[in-house]
Amino acid sequence: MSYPYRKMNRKPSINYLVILLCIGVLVLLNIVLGSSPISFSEVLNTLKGQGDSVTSNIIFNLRLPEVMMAMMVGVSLSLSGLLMQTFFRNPLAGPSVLGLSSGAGLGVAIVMMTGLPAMLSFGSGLAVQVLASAIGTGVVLALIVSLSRIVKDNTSLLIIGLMVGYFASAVVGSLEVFAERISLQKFVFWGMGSFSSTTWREIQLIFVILMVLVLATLFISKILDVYLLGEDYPTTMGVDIKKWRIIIILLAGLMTGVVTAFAGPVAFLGLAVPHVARMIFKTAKHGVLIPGTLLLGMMIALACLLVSKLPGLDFRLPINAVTSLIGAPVVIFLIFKQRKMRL
Amino acid sequence: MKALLEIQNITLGYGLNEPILLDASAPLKEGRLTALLGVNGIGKSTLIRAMVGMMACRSGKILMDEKELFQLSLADRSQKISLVKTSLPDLGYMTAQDFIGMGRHPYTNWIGRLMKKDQQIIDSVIESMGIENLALRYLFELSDGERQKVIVARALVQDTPVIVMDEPIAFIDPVASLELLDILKKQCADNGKTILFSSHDIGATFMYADDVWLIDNDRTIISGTPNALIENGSVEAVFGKKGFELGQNTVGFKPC
Repeated sequence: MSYPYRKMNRKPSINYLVILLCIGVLVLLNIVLGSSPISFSEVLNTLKGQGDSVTSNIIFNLRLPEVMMAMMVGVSLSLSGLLMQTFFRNPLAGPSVLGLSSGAGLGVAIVMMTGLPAMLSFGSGLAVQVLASAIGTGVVLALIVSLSRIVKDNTSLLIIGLMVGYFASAVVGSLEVFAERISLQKFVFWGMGSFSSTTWREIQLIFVILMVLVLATLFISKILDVYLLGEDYPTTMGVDIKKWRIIIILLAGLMTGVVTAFAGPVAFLGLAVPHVARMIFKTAKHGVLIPGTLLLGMMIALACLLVSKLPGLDFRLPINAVTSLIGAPVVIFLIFKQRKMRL
Repeated sequence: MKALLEIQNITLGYGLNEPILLDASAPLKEGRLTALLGVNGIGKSTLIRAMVGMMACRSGKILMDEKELFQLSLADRSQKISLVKTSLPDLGYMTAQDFIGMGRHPYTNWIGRLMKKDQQIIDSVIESMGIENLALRYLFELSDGERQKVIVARALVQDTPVIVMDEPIAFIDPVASLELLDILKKQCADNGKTILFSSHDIGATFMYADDVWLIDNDRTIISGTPNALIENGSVEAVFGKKGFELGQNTVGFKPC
């Protein structure tokens, strides 16, 4: 070989391993730490089935579901963000920026505060909440995409996304005035974002849906690579952009919608994590970025969960406050960095 | 000489506006470097967009090997005709080598894995273009001229008989332009590629092009060899203006 390119194929597997290790540590810490700390030996005993019932109750019904939820939210929002950044060819695209979270919020607000599910005589209302969140996300995404056909310039599109978000929030704000106190309270807590109070049944449901969506995303990594090149190249490279456009939008919308229904509109993860993945793996190839983003999403969500528990035993920071505290500086940093990378 | 690709009586336009090209016909001969010339805004890019299927023709047809190009599937077309553009979106940490490798997409499996044969083709293109030193660098680190070579390399790697290029020498300096045209010419002569490139740089173009498609003021195409078009006055008719004439001894670089 006359030029040194094989050396270039630095194996990303070391990065993957390090991240996996961090995830392991964070999972443990998140099980150990909480409003009633549990020691490592107690955790081990409980996992062996020898712990007392209170501890095992805390671990199996509170801590583990929370950890699972954090990981799933991290995965789905981050991948959704990666899909959107590739789709819009815009580094600042993401579920919370383009108004998707607000769309989900509007859907959930309508369900929670108007008593619609009760009227339609749905049992739990939970399925309705998931559906409403997914539909809300989907509607906003469809709106943004159709506008993106007219407005070619990315910055304008982002501003439109922000405006759509404000609009949805305004409708939610108006609904709040008429809502009953209990449902309003429920909605406000939902809006702060939370990984807790999910049942194993719900987790199983989200897990199955997510597995399908993640596999589908991996399956289209080659298409996503070509998508990066703009509108003209894919057509000449045998990729039907119109067909894949719908699939990418559906994947991004569903991933955001499903977890938002449960965990609330968690900010910044979707925007920031793909960038962290790009910086660590130093590649633009989705075959590497998708697994990287997925793992980093888990890791960062777990870290946020841990930080949210830090203030002490009885208090918890809202997840949204933590993700924004970390995410906002990351985004500003990225904008500075991006200026050096312009073609 | 055989026309590998041929446009026949095509009319192009956006929406209900005046047509950009009217009833234009021209042959693209196999193994030759053809230049698409015309003044700014005349519709060179539009024609190229139509030729790669990015916009539909109002009438007329584009034939490839005597078959209508757009009756072929997208996958088949991607093995017949490839594209080179001037600009690229922000591709982040995309290395030149990864970008060039994407030219193999029409041939690779669902995950885009490069097989030995793909890698050999990529290597030989990189070597033949003399861009080994660029392979490892990120696209955003390259100069305009270097990046243009990489963009051309991607199209070569796609291994199609025909390549169309939209303004490949528009933003690079004179000698780099000649270098690139030299590479294109060799690809045609040595590897039998058929290349159409648009430009408005008459000087550089006429040093290398075997044939010329000239979009004239009637919005149709005059095709022929460079010398023929200069001699019959078409070039002057298209580009000339009162007070200017086509120079004989103007200053400019040429290969030696």
